[in-house]
Amino acid sequence: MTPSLAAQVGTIAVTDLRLRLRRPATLWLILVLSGLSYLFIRDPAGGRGLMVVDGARALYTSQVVALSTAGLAAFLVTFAGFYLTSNTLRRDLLARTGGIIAATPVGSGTYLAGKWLGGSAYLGLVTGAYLLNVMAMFLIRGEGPLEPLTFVLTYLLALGPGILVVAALALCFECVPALSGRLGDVAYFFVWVVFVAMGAIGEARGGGMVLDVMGIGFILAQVHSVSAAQNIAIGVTPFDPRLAAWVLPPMSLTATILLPRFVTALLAVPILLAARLFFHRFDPARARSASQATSGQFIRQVSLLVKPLTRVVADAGARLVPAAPGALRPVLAETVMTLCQSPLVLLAWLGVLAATLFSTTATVHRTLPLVVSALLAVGLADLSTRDRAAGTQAMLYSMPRVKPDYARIKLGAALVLALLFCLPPALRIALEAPAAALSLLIAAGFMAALATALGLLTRTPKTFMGVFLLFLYMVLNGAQLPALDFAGWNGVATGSTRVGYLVVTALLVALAEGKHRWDLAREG
Amino acid sequence: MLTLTHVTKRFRGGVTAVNDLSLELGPGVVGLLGPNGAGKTTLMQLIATITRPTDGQITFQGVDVLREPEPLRRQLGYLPQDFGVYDNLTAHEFLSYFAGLKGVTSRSRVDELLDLVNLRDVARRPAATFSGGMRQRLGIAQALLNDPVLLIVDEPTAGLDPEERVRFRHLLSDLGHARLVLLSTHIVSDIESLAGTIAVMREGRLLTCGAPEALLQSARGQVWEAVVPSAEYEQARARLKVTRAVRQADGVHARVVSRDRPFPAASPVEPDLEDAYVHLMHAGA
Repeated sequence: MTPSLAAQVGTIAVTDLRLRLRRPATLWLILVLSGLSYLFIRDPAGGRGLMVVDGARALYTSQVVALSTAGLAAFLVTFAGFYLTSNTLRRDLLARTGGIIAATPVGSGTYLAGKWLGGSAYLGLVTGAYLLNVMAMFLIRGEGPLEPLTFVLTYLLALGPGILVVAALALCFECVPALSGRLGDVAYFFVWVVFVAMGAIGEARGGGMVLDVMGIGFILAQVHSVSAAQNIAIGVTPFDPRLAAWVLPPMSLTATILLPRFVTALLAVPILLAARLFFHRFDPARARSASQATSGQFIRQVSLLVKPLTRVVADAGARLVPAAPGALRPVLAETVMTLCQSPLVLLAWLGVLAATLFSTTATVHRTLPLVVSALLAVGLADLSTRDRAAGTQAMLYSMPRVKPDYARIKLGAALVLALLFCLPPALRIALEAPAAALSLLIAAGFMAALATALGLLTRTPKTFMGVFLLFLYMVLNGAQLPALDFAGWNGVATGSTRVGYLVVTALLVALAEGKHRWDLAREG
Repeated sequence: MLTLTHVTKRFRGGVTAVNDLSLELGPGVVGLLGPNGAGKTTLMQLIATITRPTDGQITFQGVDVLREPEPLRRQLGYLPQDFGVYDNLTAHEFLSYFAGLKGVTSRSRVDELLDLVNLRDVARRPAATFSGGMRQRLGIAQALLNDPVLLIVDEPTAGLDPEERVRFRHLLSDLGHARLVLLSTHIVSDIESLAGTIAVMREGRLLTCGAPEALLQSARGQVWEAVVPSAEYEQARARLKVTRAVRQADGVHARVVSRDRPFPAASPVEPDLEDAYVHLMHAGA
């Protein structure tokens, strides 16, 4: 690499990092991670340990705390990391600087390399902030000397490859037309599920180690290298206080440990090459077709077929909206606009109606709410962010009462949309399972509030998509936990569960409203 | 310096934005005129190597731009019409970023340009707080960072106040002595005062390219002024090409482009560039 090329990559990476760090979402993220580090490193006197090996808790040494907290962070870094870094080309398109960049002598590969490094550095810095919090907690709860080098090395080996690969994947998804939109956001969820599986396989020797992007296999291998333990639990886990605390010796840096992690990090290279292959370099013709291809040729064709239905909705809206009472008018207008703008949402709603009518009660109770939640993950995501992205917010603010009531209008529209999907199955199961029906209606409010609050807080639909899909994954995997049965389909939700989600919904509503008021005060 | 040979740009979906356009340009200021949708912006994007033509060839200083875009990009300054800034960067950071992309190593260059566009005092303020005119000046500064030999500016004076527009015109006029400045605008007066060559496009085709005098000559004897009674003005406007009209006590003082005398009392006047442009558009219809 020539010095000027290195300087160009550096300039792009530094600017990308600077732009990311100045987003309010970064502050929120660091606050959340600080809270998590506090929650993860519990006082063992409470009967729960950070790492439990065959029932015995591991002594809180630097090595144990580093490995365990890195393992917990791996889930977040590889999942949320994608959504956090997958907006870098879109930012240049929205800021309308893409054309200028395309006209500079900077090569496409150089530009992508800089963007990738910027994204990786951002994830690295956020992880670094989390690591500092972990070390601070270690000073309080640790049971040995603080060894910063152990923490840094463990994090580098466990999370470093994942950060590089996820940042490359985020860039690649943005470059590939079919993956650059919400379809790609959903598709990544399944990629991540594969990463989780690879973590388990990765502990085995061979190719699995190389594909262990999350680093979970690497972490488990460190424990198994000194113990033949059958059960290893990382996280806030109850342990048997009668068993002596288990001690994990410091990790030895051998080629067997380092090489597979290095090779895993190199997976970023072919991904970046694929990104380079598809990169449009802001060519208006290619960028336009990329945005059209976001939903794919097939989906576009379906959208065109459904278009006559949206006209029916538009006509109904034209009659209903003016007749609605004042406060409800903008809410209904927003809902009608959402349905007309996304014919697929309308088609999905018709599908839900049909499924409600023609499926068995068990299916409507156990399966349909999951389908509805997944559909709403896509349908609600951009409701509170689209006006800013389209540049129509100022126009909307000039209309009577919209500016002060903006958050409430968005919340209302999200709630109406969520209820459109949740109410039919709730009514169908109301007689046989009234509690589940109630859970589903509360879930509608929860999803609407979460989408609106996260959209207003972070100004990108990706946050809600990422957080909510991760939450759905947890709900599916924690089928026995009443606290996770937010929509009642696991059949374990209790009265406390429902009250809990109502309280969370109220807090999210307050958060959305508070953020909007703060924005208004800041803008004057 | 810059040669376009039979350049065509057809978008997917069949829209032809630039149609078999050939042009040869040397140093100086070239004004590009045309109605909305004429293909001006696409032409500029083609020359700026942002998009590739479907057919044809573009050479700059003898180098085929399609095969080797780098030599042109190194000497290019480009200000697109639909241009924005990163709200979270300051003016200084924004210019430093583009200086880095363009390979400009001089640290003082950013400050020089901030002075040139009158933004030195606000250099450390986030661009989010800038007015439309300030953002436009920042864009102009960005285009000049690498002291370009080819400067392409698409509607550069939009958003500038009258004083800034005059300053910018002088700047372009100075730059046009030694390099090629390609300027697209709807404001004919911007071109009138500084372009040595005027190119007019319509529906993707080049209607004419030459000195302003040649364009004016084509309209000579076909521009008229008359005072039209207010009651008759609307009817007159519907059948004639009126380029200017001022309502006064004695009627509407109208300036009309017409091959024949439009009213018995109309008197012929010397055409200006706006009249000549309207005449060309009307004649080609």
